[in-house]
Amino acid sequence: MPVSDSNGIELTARDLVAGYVAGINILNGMSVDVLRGEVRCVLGPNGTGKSTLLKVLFGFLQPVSGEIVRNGKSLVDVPSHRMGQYGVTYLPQRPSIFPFQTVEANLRLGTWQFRKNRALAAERTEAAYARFPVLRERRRQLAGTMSGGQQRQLEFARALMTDPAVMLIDEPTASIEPRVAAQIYELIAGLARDGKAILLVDQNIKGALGIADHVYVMRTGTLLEEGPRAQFTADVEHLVARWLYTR
Amino acid sequence: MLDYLLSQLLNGLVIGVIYAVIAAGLTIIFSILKIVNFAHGEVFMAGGYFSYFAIALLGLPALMGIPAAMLLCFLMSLLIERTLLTPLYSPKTERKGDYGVLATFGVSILLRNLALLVFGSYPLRPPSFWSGSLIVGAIYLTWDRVFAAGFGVLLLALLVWFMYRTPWGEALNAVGQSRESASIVGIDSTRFYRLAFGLGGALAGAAGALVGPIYSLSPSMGLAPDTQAFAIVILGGMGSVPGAIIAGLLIGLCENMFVAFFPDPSRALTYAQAFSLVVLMIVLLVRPTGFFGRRHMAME
Repeated sequence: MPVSDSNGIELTARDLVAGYVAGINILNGMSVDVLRGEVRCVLGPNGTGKSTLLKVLFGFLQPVSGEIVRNGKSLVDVPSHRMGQYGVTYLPQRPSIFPFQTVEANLRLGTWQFRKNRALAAERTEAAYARFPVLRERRRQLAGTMSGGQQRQLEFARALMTDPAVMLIDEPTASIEPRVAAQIYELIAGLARDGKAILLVDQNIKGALGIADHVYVMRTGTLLEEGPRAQFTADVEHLVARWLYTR
Repeated sequence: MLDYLLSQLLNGLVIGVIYAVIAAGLTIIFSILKIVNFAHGEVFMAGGYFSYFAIALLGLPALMGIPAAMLLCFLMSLLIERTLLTPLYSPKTERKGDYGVLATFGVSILLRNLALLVFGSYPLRPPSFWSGSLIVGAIYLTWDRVFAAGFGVLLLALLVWFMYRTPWGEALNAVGQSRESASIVGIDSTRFYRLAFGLGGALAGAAGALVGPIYSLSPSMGLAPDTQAFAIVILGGMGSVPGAIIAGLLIGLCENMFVAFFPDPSRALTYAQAFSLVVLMIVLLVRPTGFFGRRHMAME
């Protein structure tokens, strides 16, 4: 089992520069720390590189320069399908469930990395059903036929099958009705209380600030400002104005 | 009349099973790699020749020609995938579908002409798997046809078991739905691309080996079944293995019944393929995604 840093830092990224096309960088020296038991939230206007940051951290996009470290090991060259072995999972903006497979099969695929350990897989599946009872009720249903909120629950349940230390979450409440969105934020806050290190990227500023311990504000691929939640919750309008008008 | 109808029905089922085996391989490749493999018919042809030479040169029993053809076609497909198709997995490659069509179309021309060069244009006939004929009343069917259908059904049953009852089949299905999501759960998609392309090739090779003693081998033998397989894959729903099996049987049956009852028997065979395309058009008018098609199908 990976052992975290003594300061509680589970994942750290320094001076990340990355882009999809050579010569055009979306991230321009972005740095973040993800701490055990905390929700760290990345806010910023559209197109500023928030989702790209998560893709780089999870190995979907190779950075041009910069460093990503977990437990003293560089993750820069680790392919995305091996990130789970390093205790990192990722929930993209579009639910990453397998819509043409049953809920049961989706959860089973969540145990792919330790599929030969059937006892552990069964134990984790049972824990997932206990945490999300609706998934047990719908275990034989095709995942793609469930509601958006239920699909998100399935995605969280599947992500938790590997008991990750670090969760990278991108806009978890996009296209989700407000009542269910509140439940999802509560779920994320609960996961942090359980000791998970969470990096949350969100457009729903009020929802994200409601559960964040620490906030990063991005603009054009760099860090505009950061600080504890209290620094930002007092005047959300002012925060938005700052990222809209700061050059 | 009933005997004639039954004979045609049985022959239609035999060819339907062969079509289903070819189309199942094609649809697996499509569903995972999201490319239309234009070289599939040539891999089918190679399977026939591999079986023939495994028997003729190595002295293997006729039955062993099938696993030999499957293994060699699997390896040949891996070679094609490793040397030509890896750009499909790179985010830098644009228009991946077009790339796949051009690359496999090139391979198809290369393989057909290589076969012409190496094996010559004269048809070759491998030895029978099972000589003699099944005769019940006026119903006549060679044992080779019965064997081909039986072996084909066994292969299809194994394939369905693999795809829907094993973790590897489940993972293959997951990769086909989303490479990114598969990576998130820890599946190395590249290995499954290889597996899918190899598996599709092995199925085509098996079909080639099975039809060898029935129709003889020639470098261009893959052209017509390949066209039919494309129609079958679309009819069954692109990417669906059960769809390919059902549509394969349906097309085989329809084709034979059409030939049997076409008013002008001298022209019936010429129009047989066109008739299966008419069936395809009618089904697509009612169900544009085919029998079991999925709506989203594009390489990420």
